[in-house]
Parts: sequence; structure tokens; C-alpha cells
Amino acid sequence: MIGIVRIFRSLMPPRMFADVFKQNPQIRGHLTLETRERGKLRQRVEGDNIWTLTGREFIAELIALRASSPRTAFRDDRVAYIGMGSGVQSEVSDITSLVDPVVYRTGEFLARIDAPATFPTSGTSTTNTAVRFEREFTVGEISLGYNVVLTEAGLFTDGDPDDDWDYSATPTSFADTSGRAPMAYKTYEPITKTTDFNLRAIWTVRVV
Amino acid sequence: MLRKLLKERAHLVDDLRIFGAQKTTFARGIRMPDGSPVPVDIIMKNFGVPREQAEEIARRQTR
Repeated sequence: MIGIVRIFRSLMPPRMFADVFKQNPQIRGHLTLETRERGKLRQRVEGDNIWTLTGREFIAELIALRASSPRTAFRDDRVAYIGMGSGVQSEVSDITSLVDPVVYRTGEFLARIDAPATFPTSGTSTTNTAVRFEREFTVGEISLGYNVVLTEAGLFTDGDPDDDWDYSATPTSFADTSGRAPMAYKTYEPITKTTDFNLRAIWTVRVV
Repeated sequence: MLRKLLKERAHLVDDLRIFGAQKTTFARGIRMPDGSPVPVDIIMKNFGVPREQAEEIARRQTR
């Protein structure tokens, strides 16, 4: 065994070696989108998302305390919204917004994710190491009398970045939020939303 | 040889990309059901933005 480890150590960059043998956790996200017409599956796309710098900052600040007495946190916002768009850009960490965000309802960009979120089990453990966010867009949402070819999506918190991530009165309008940086981002092959289709978005985040 | 054969038959499947063939051009963004661009007035109303921004959205969506 020691010999095998030495071989891997000589072949792998140090960071990769640490990932394999010291089990440093990674936070992986996976987005699945499905359109259905009266329950029948019409189209399905899926893929792994990237975490933006904004999202990485969110995770780092979420696990830290600002003060222990009285107990205060750096931020109390949580993943609560999904935003859809019809643009395409490279999946890189410094993404600052969706390219071509679209409204899901008149004047509204951010769509609330179903609550409570669920914790899918892995089959080998009952520990909650994954969380699933879901949102079903009805036939009358996103496609407001027209067809929308969706190619990008972002995951957002309920915190207002212009007000120290305050979540008490989260703006969701297109005018106020379409330029915001998502926490996680995914661009995918085109999926068409028409007034005949429901669209279900399932975003799973795993700490592996 | 197999790849060439699959490319020739690629029109039989929905997702041409699995065979490395060129995907047909698709309309991007928002479109009326007949394929025409969405009028600026509708974008203004639905997106809740002023005309100038709606015109910019219309331009981007019809690339």
C-alpha cells in the first residue's frame, strides 16, 4: 500500500494527491431541467454547475461567526431563488450575472425555490451530505405568451447584496435583480419552454 | 467509417451532437410561437423595463 501511495505521489500534482488521499471535501452541484406536456416528458437536459466567486464567498461566510457573544453571523441569507436566462457564456468563477436573464412572471426575475429543501440520501449513509432545490414553472410562467429558449440558470440567495445580504425584504424584480451575480451557474443545451409545457428545475448540491 | 455512417444518419436522432455532427441552427432567446421576434411593447410590459432597455433586450434576444 505504501508503495502505491509513493507512486501516486510521484505522478500527481500535490493538490490532486491531497484530494485523493486526504479526502478534502468538494461541493458539487448538478442541475436537471425537464419540460413536460400534460405529464409527458418532452425534453431533459442536465449537467454540473460551477460555483462563482460570489457563491464561494457565501459558503465561506456561512460557516463562520462574526461574534460569539452575542452570537452573530456574517450573514443569514440562504439559497432561495433560481433565475433563468437565454444567453451563453463560459462557466468560469468570475461570472457576474446571467447573460440574457428572462422574467418568469410579469416583471419578476427571481423565482422562489420550493421550501423546505430536501436532503437526498446516498444509499450508504443517512447523513445529510446533499441538498436538493426544486422549482416547477407552470405553463404560464417563463413563456408569457411567447416561447423561450432557455440556455442558462443561476442559483441565488434571499440576501440583498446592496444591503449587507439582508433577507427581510428581498427584491425579486427583473429591474432590481437581473444583473446580480448568482451563487452557482450553469449553461446548458437549449431547452424550449412554451405555454404547453411545465418546466421542472432540480438543483442538487453535494458535499463529496 | 462508423463515424461517417453515423453522421449520415444523424438526422434520425434528436441530439446530433452525440455523433459530432453540426447541430441545426435554433432560434435563441424569446420568440413568438410563429418564430418572429417578440414586439418591444410586450417586452416592456412583461419585463417591466423602459423602452430603451426593452429594445436592448429585443436586440440581444434576436441574435
